[in-house]
Amino acid sequence: MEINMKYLTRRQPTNGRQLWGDFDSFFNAPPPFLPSFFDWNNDVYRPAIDLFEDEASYIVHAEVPGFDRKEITVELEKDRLILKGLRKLNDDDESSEVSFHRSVTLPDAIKSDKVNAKYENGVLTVTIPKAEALKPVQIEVKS
Amino acid sequence: MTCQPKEATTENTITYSQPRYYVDQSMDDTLVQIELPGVSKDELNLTVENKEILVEGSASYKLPENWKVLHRESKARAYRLRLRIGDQVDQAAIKAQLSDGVLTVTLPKAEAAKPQKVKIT
Repeated sequence: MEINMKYLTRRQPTNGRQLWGDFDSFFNAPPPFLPSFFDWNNDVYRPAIDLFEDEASYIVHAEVPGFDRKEITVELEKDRLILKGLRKLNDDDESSEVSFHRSVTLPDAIKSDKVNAKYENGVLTVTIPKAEALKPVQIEVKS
Repeated sequence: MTCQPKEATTENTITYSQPRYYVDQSMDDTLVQIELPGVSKDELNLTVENKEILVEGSASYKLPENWKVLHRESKARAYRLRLRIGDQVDQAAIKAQLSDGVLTVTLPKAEAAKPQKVKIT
């Protein structure tokens, strides 16, 4: 996402109750429906992550709106999936950044060379095929 | 002030939640960035009426039935945000763009609302 240089104020989180200064009178927002789930902390935030499975794969969804595809990295360290993102925000006279780092330990053996990741509408989807289960082997009983 | 329930509302079985949003201001515009992960352009509506903007979007995506949930943090991808913009916005010139799950709404300030330079005599 492009951050336009001409905007003068720093990007700050808002949940509708925390409008500041003269903005209050200008832009009187209704109270939020839900309690703020925003854990703003030193420009690090914690994207929501879901883990699913079907017969063949584990699927991870991460909601990381505003990141460009190129700002996201997906790594697999044995059975641990690591999702990272770093986005630089250029303000007029100072730069800041937003980053996230989350990992998911997958419950069972996987095929690490067949992992697929895509990013669409702010949602990262990673599909990790499960390792093929050992098929039962029939052993002939000899007389 | 708009009248709205404080809890998430359920209408036609869709439960909307309020998306996270950010506000920036310049001399000429007010910029609102609204996080709507999972919603595409076609699933999103922005209306300007009665000095309010209303953003509504809900993803048509459904989880495949054979998927088993092992861990879930995300909320339903149905969002509604109503913001009062008052008289100080040039309503006809409002623009919006969706990119990577973030809707950027540009609200140009009405001439009367812009800072005026006063000539000192």
